[in-house]
Amino acid sequence: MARRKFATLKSFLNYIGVEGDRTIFTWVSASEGDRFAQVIKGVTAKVRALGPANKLVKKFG
Amino acid sequence: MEKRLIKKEALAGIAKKMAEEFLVWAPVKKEDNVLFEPLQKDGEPYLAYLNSKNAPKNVFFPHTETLMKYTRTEKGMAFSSEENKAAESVLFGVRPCDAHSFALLDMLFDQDKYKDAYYIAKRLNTTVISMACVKPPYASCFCTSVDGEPVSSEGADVLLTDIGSDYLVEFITAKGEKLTRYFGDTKADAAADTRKEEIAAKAKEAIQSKIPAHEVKPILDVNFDNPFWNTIHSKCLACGTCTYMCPTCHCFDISDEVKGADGVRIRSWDSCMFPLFTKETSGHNPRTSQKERWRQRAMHKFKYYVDNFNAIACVGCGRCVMSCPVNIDIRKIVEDISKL
Amino acid sequence: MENIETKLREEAKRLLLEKKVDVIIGYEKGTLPLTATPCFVTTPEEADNLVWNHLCTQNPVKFVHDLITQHKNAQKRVKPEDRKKKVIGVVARGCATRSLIIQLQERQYERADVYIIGVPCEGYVDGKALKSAIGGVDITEGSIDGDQIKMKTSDGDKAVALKDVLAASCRTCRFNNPIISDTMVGSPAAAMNPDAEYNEVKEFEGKTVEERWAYYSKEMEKCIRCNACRQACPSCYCPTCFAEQSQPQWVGIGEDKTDTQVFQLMRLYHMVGRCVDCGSCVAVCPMGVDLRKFLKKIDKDGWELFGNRAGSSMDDMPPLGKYDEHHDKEDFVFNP
Repeated sequence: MARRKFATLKSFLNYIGVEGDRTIFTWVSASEGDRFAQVIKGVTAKVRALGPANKLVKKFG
Repeated sequence: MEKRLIKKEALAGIAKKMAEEFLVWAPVKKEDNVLFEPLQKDGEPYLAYLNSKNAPKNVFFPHTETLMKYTRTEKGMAFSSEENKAAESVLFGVRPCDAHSFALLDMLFDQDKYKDAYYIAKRLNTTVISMACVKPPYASCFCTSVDGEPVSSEGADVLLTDIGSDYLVEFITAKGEKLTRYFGDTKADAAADTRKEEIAAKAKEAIQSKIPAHEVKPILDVNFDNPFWNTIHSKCLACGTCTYMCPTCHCFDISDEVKGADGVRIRSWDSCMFPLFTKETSGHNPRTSQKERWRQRAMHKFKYYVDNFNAIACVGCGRCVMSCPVNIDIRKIVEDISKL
Repeated sequence: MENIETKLREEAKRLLLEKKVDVIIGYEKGTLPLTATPCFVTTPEEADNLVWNHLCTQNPVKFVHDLITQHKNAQKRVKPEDRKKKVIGVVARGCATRSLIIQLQERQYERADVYIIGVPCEGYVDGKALKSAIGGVDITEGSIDGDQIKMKTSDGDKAVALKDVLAASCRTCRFNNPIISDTMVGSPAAAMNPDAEYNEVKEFEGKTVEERWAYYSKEMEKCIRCNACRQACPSCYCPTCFAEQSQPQWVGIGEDKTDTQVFQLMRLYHMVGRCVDCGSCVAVCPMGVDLRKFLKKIDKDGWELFGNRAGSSMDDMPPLGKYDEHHDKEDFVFNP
């Protein structure tokens, strides 16, 4: 059921204007150390390409 | 009192000229809403309006305002106040009912016992320019029932009245007189005064909706437990539309927002219609249902405010009547109370 | 419509006389021109106040949940042998019956707790669109005459075609006749135009991400946090809304624009599989926030991803309460 929530959340955030690459979901098992590293590399590369997140981030004070 | 005449078409220009020198709050048309907002450089005031969507109380009593800031340092907490940050400003073109609301809010925020520094700072630094209502009013306007008039200078520093080809400009207070330089040099003659009186009488006549607002106070005094209260709220959604639109509703909440070592204390609007409004830390809520909340709203406007300040906390602008999503009509409620 | 109104009153009287229901939630004439407002009918005499027309706007199912919850809570303080059953009658069109189905699916009460008086619906008037169509002038009197709305205004007599000011939700409604009912009043209404229901969403999807964000921000900037949208929504029945929780505090209570965006985002997202497009939140919003632009996307995703139309069948389960390993797409899953 989490997958349905993620599918709709990713789609909805993208729809209101939060870039789709900021909402990332995947499955990693505890035994997949190498895959975990690959996923994190992939995620950081995508987010780095988009630059700092300003949307939905509250400016404090 | 200084009185001048200005050409009608000059008015928007005057607002824009003022906006070059200081902050000018003016009615601005945004899509279908007319709102009081700071007039931007390329902005155009929208003066052909009957009344604004929101009450201009947000100029003095914003929806959210920072009361103070604090930081945790090695030597303890460092506090900084925000209270005197009000810039010199003009509130341009409010309706007499809304200007009346400022006089009512003053009684609360600027009373002998308590002085609200945040409100007072803004109030002192703001000159209120009212625009009399001479066009046919909304069918839901009832200012004449609650001590108001469509052409009235109460709560205003300057009053503008459309007397045909010109606006009659009356500088009511010393604060208002400081702005005379913006309004040309044509002195108003006695004929303009006569014309204004005629128009004022006609405008007063045009307010058709009437409520027995002054009659209900003694009835409310003895009817706290009347079964009448059991049903008036039944369709109420418990949203805050009536109170947020209301020019005289002034209840607020204070909360802290903290991030790391920094914190801000903010004050934000609250509404007696919200269940959370009276909920206590223990979980107990003395106003258990919407019945008690609605009774509070009616009592506050027509009894408690009269007890405390000898004035009804309603200016008859009709915003709650028009904006209530379920058509709970304060006029009908007052009418019904008068028959108890 | 007149005919339906008469039958509705007769039916309401019968149900109250026969004690089939304790209260009927319907609509009565409002105090402002061209308005109808929710009402609670408890006696046969009051049944004559009931109206059914193009001005009946709000989803009454919000009140069904409220009344049942209040009754249940009150019964907790009563000895078991003295507990009373209460049946809530409700005048329900298509969208309202969908809301009832959702509340039933979510096990909020039993089917026998409600008595559904089904009514056919040909759409309701969007008050803001009407006001806009006549240039924002004040309406002093008005009536609906066939397919025309005739008004006396502060700017003289005006007339507007009914179809031009129907709510957006109604124009493309797929379920304008009740899905479930205990009794039906009137014969089924003609279909609306459901084929066009996602046109606006598709157009919006075609915009760039920055354009979409600009629109979302602009709309949410109008919001004054009065909570009318949430309060009017039959699917927003949480005893304590996340927006009011303080430990932790999920979202600030002030007018900060990010707080407003987050509040609305979370409320909107809570509507996956639960928004029936009744349009009540849009109708009650005093500031005219375009909530439907976003809610309709949620509806579209529910349909396209899971084949679910919220509350369209008593046999469905809430779409986020299950999954389908053969048909659910996996293209949102990141695989480096």
